[in-house]
Amino acid sequence: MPARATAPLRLAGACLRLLLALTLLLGVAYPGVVLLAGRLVPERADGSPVRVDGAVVGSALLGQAVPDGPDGDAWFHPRPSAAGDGYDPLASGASNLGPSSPELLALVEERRAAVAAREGVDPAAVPPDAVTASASGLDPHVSPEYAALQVPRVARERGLPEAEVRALVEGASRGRALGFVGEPVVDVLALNVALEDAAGPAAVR
Amino acid sequence: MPQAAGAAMEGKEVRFGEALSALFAASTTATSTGAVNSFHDSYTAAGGGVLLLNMMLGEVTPGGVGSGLYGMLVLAVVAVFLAGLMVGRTPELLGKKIGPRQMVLVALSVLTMPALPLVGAALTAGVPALVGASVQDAGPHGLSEVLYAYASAANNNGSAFAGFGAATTYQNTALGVVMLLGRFVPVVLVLALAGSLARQTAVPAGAGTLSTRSPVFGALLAVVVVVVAGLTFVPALALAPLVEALS
Repeated sequence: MPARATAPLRLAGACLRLLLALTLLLGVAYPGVVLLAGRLVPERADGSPVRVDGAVVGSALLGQAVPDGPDGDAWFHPRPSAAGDGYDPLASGASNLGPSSPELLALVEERRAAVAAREGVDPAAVPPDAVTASASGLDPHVSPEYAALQVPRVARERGLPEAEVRALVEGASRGRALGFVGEPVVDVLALNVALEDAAGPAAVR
Repeated sequence: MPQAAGAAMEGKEVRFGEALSALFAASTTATSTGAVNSFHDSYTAAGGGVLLLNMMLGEVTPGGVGSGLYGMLVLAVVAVFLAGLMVGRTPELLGKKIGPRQMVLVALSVLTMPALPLVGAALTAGVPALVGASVQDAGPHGLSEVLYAYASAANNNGSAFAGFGAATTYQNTALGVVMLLGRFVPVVLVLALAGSLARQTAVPAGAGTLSTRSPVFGALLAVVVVVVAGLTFVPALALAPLVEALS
C-alpha cells in the first residue's frame, strides 16, 4: 500500500527535478555559453559595426541607401532594394515579382534609364545587378562590373584621379570563396568608407 | 524579364549569383528543408518549375531525408510490387511479402501527396474571390504561385513563392489543414504498413526474389519515383510553369 500511494508523488518529484535541471541547462547554462562565445568575437556578435571616427556608420553585413540626385553622386551606389522604401533593415525582403510581371519589367527599364543617365553611359552597358533588387533588400555588394561603371563619376565628383578610385575598388573587392564558390563582389559600404578616408573628411561637404 | 535585365538577378544576392542561388533552391526543395537564400517567386518560369517539381516528387529525390525517408520506402514497395507483377511472383521486400493489404496502404499513402496540393490549389484557383485576395501575378505565373503554396504546405517544405498572399483567413486555414493532413495521413498509413509487415514472419530469399541491392532495382525505383509522383503533376505543371516558359 505505501508503495502504491507514493508512486504518483515520486513521479511528480522526478518530473519537478527534470524541469529544474532542464531549466538550468537550457534556460541559464546554454544562453550563458552562447553569450560568452559571442564575447570571444565581440565585433561579430554586435553585428559587425563599421566605425568612422569612433561613430558607428553601419554594419559590414548590410547595404545602405545612397541618396539619388546630386547628393549621392560622390558615392558608390548599391543595388536597387525592395526592403521597405529601400534598404530598410526592419523590412528585409525581395520584390517577389514574377519573371513575366509587367510591373517588374517597367521597374527594370526605369532603373536602367536612371543608371545610364547618372553614369552617362549607354543603357545596354548597365549590368544586371544594377537594375534588379536583391533577395534581402540589404545586399551589401555590387558586381565588379557595376562598381567599374561608377568609377568615372565618383572620381569626377571627388576630384580624385580615376586610378586612385579604381585602386580603392580593388581594395573593397573579394573574389569567389575558395576560388570557385559564388561570385566576385565589391563591398559598397567598405568602398565608400575608404573613399571618404582617401579624400579627407573635409573634401566632401 | 531576365532578358530585359541581362540576368535573372531579381531576388538574388550578388555574392551567391545565379548558380549558387539555383543550387541552394534545388537542394532546399528536393530535401524538405525550406530555407532560402534567394526568392523563388522571381526565378525564371522554368527555374521555378523545377523547384515545384522537386517538391511534387515527394521530396525524395536525393534518397529522402527527414520525413522523406519513409516516402522513399513507400516508393520502394511500389517498385517491388511492379517488379513482382512483371515476373509473375509474389512481391517481397526484405523477406516480407507485399500483399493486397500492404498495397492498399501504400496506394493511399502515394495518393495523399498529389491529392492534397492539387485539390487545394484547384479550390483557390477556381474561386475568383480567393484568386483576387492572394494571387499576385496574372496568368500562368499566378497558377504557379498557388501550386507552389500548396505543394510546399503538403510536403512541409516551408519555402514559398512569396508574392502569393497567404496571410488571409482562408489561406491560413486551408494551408494549415493541408499541412496537417500532408504530414499525418502518410505517417498513419506508413505506421500501419510497418505494423502489418512486422506481424509477418520473414521468408528466406529464393531464386525468384528481386534483389533490392542491384543497380537494376535502383533504376526501377528511380523510374517509379518519376512515373508515380511526377506524372500526377504533369498536367498542372503544363498549365503553369511550362506555359509561362514557352510564352
